[in-house]
Amino acid sequence: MLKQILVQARGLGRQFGANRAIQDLDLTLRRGEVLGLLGLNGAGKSTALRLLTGTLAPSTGDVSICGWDLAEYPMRAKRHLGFLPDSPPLYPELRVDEYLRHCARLRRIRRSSLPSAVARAKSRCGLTDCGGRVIGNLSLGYRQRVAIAQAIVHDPEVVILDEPTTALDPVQVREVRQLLAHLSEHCGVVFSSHLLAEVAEVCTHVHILHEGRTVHVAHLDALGGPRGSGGCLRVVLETPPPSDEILTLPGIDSVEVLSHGRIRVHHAPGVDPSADLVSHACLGNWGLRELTPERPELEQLFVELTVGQG
Amino acid sequence: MIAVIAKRELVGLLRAPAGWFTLAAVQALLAWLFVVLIEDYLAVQGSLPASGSSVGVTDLIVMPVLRAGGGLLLLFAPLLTMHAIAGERRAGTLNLLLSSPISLSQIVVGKYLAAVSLLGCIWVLIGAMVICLAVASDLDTGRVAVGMLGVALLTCTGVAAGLLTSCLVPQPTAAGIVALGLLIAGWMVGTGRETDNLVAILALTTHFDRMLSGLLNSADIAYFLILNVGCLGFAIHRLDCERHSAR
Repeated sequence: MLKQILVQARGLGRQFGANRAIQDLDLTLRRGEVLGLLGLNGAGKSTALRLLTGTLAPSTGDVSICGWDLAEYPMRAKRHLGFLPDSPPLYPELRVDEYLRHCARLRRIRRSSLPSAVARAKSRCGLTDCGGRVIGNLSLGYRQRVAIAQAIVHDPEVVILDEPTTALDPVQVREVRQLLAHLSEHCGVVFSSHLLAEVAEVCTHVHILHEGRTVHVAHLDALGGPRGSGGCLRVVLETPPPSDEILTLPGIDSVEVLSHGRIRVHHAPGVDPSADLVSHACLGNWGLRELTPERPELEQLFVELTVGQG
Repeated sequence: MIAVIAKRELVGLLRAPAGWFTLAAVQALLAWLFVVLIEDYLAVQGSLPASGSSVGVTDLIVMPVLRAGGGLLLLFAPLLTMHAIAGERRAGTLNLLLSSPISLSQIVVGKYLAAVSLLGCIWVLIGAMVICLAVASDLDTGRVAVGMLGVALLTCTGVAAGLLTSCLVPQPTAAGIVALGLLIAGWMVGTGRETDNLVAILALTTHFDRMLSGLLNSADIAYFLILNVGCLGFAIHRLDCERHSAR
């Protein structure tokens, strides 16, 4: 059964003078999905996110959030929205608790629920001990955490984040990824990023923009589908058999022998030969050490669709 | 929601030096003027009955203080409002407001009320100075009340004009300077002109001075209200246009 649609954009366009920043953007986000918006600098990612949040009005098309048209019912639509813009929207003179309370009030959280909402947001973003600190005195990484906390303080159904891991150290990046995964359990997340590995790890869908146009939309598991290739598996074997023996297994197109018992098995779209491989490895005593599904190279696809077209 | 915006704005103003500087500077100038006027009055007090003059404390102390107070509050208002929208835009926090379930009018009115509240503290102190005089002399209470109303309306107009320029001009300092220029022009343009002259009719001083003379005229009230509502309305419209035109 299809999950509830949280964000729907149809024919979204935005023009700045003669420059068409976004053209004909169609986008659907369902509950439980994490949509990664990819593109080169200037591709229109931030503009697209601003259009989705209503901070910028579209020249064409419309957006609905949880069924509410953003242009017609902006107040109702924005209640379901949490947004982190590209530059953190912080008031440096406020303390973290004051700021988050203010943001929660802006999002119409009741006074009685403020302490619990602020505590929850701080806990999720690793700010539990920072409530009394002045935002202006925090490091860049902690400011970014505060900025993320404001986007989720009201427990929105749609979270839109513009490059959320900017200025974070590797540990914080990992925590944000975990947070995104946790958020996606009960809401929908749209975020933009330059880090392809991050998108590959966190997202369920990708939306690649180039010069304001959508050049590729895919479920991450079926990323290679449109290009006509299947998936592949990385296998590590202690005593690998000849490639021909592996090729006899159903659905396997080719075998790429790497080094030190590592092989890459390419298989047809829609076929998963993992079970066959495991059983044959046991029967043939191949010494199976590792079997990992490899996604088609997101980076390769991204380069083909953006740099290639440029 | 207006209260949420106003509270945040007020906290921001009180945690920045500009807010305290404005309050302190206006009050210090008014206190100095107040003392000087009392001394001048005491010097001529004895000769007033002999000359047959009908002027008293209200004319010689209260009205000059109210006129100076109104002028100072008008000119200091842009200091408080210049960051209201331009500062939010520059810091990126305008996106926080625009993506929240609040209307543009709530944003503008909230910021307007915050600045008016802060300058209202000075208005209250001016009132306190005048009441001090009432203890030792007979004041024309009706005229003083209309004068105080004039100061309040003039201050509100300064705030509204400051907010408008803060919406129109991207740089906070430039927004303050433009507002200051407009308000000084509005103050000076009517000086020395006949009150039926078109320029004088549009000037702030014409209407303010009429209120200081004790005349409560609905046209003067309407003038200030139209200026306030017009500036705020235009500011809201400008913010809406920005969503359609901004980069």
